[in-house]
Amino acid sequence: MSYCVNCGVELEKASRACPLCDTPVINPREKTVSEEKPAYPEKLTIPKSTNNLYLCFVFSLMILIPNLVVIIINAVFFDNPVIKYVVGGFALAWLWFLFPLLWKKPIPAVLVAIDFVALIAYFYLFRFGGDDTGWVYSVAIPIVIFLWAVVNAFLFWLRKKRSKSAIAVAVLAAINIMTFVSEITMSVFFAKKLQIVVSLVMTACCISLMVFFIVLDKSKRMKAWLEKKFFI
Amino acid sequence: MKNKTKPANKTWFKLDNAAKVFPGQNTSSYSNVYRLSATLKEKVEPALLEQALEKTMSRFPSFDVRMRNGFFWHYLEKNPNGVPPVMPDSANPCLRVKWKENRGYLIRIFYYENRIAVEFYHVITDGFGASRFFMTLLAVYLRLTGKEIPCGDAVLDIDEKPHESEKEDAYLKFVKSKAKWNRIEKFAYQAKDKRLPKHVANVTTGYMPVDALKQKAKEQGVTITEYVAGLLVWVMYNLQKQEKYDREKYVGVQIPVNVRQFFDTDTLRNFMLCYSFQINPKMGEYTFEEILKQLSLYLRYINNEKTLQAMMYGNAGFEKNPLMRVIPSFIKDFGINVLYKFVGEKSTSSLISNIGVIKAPKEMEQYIDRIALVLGRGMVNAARCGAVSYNGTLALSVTNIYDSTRVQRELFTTLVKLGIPVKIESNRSAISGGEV
Repeated sequence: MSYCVNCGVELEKASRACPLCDTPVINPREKTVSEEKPAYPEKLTIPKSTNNLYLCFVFSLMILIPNLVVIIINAVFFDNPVIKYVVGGFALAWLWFLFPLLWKKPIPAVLVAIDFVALIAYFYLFRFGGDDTGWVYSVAIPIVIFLWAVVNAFLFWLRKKRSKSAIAVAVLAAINIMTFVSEITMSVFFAKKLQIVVSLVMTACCISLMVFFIVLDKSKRMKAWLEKKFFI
Repeated sequence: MKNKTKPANKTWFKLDNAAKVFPGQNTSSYSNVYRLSATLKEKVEPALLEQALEKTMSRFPSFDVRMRNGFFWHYLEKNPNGVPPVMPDSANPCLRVKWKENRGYLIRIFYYENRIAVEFYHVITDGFGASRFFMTLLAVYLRLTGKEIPCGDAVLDIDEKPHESEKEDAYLKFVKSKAKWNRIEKFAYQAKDKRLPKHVANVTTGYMPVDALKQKAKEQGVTITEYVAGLLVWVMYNLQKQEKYDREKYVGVQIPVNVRQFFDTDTLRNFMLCYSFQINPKMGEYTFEEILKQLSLYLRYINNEKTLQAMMYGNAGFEKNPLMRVIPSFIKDFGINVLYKFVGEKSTSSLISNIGVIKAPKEMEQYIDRIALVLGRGMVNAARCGAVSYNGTLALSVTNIYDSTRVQRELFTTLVKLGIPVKIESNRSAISGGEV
């Protein structure tokens, strides 16, 4: 029988360290330590999460039924052209949120590519529907392609393990870049001149938050305090 | 010929008054589950255990059930799926319960080396009923291994027909008072730390001689439960002091108590009430003796038939209130869930459930080495403790959802310092490096 030199409690024969204080057990007289079985098996039971296929099926039905009803009612009574944007929007939502549930191990870059191609196709709906005043080619598609590049760069950077604070800083930087790109593209197209106001306000907010996260990354004490107070 | 088995298969009964809130509290990671485990002198044979289970289940109709959803309330129905599966044990006991898993049963049976463990969802029974089922199962199992075990004490006769009174809802039977007991509980200190992953808790069990603990309790003029509960408050009080808060919070302990001693009932379903005790550190410095004295006086003040009646009347209000009755069960569940998440465990720093001494027939004692009671993981509490005494040894288990072991270390080292020898076993090594 072994006792913890630190806590004074008697330990199981199979213990290699005290479960209360992690002090290693060194008892030259107990040579059969490894032969003894511990009090609990090594295997953890982690229950399976909800069946993704089932979830996908239920939500797909929830999207499909009202859409079919709306399409039929529109075809019979109204013949409103706006319907294609609504149905297209739902199809896009399905592809973004429910399609990933069908994959067991989705490859992020492929998933992102599918999502962005679908988004570009959705904007093309406006062009072919005759509701484009030039904004699809000049504003929407450049912003989407730039966002696609930013997301890909972020995913590439995320291949290595990063701290939560570093991820937060990267996300804030990406948001800031996207604000600049969007504002420049939209102001040039709509106001016909370069206008940078919202982006500067956004930059101020993002930089202050980025400084906070950088400080947090370096201060273990602050991190421990926040983790304790705001755990979910 | 008329099929007589059909009506029996359709037997159903309402959840007892205490159980009504448990389905609402259920989440994807939390259920009100506890386990009784016995370490035998020889290795467990799963095939015999399954046979023993088949023989035992019919004696306990209130355990042979599955949960069903009614429109206004959940109810229990006889389970047509044979018996619960006998499974190898894992490193993280007392997992959350899902109605459709485990063949629909609300009890789970595990084996590991010399140990048999049964986990009970609190909806079906309390510690008293669980100990009866568990000891009967052990006795039937030991008989199948060739030992002669008579009935008596906690072991029920499986050839006897189940009594109707064992299925009764004792709360509704005994609630006569028209006065409510006003619970005034403030939000209490929580010894929070970095959380362990979902579904995992650190379980540490300390085995100690009952006599040594009884002697210490006697010196202070308190019972063993009061002594351990006082110790928990003392530990939490000291931990809060170490954290040096500007405004110290209340420190409290919750003690579920079997109330069969006051009311004559054979029920094997829930019949317990929760006592809560709190101290306010803002009032000044407390000593361990002071805490023990206040706790013991408080428990003795409320531990009488009239106060218990008033507590039961308050609890029964939930089920008797006409407005509550007409609310659909999924809305009730949602309300209970939200309330429990934001208020439930926050009014207590810890919990100690002592089911007392489990007595087995003398012929059986020699085959069982030790028995332990482990409570399931809580939502915020760092110490949910289960205690049970068997054959002169008290097993005190601490279930902690946080990575740090400071609560259990403080508790067990304090006992050692008081002169009580403690033997520790834990799942810590398994949960820190176990395979999934």
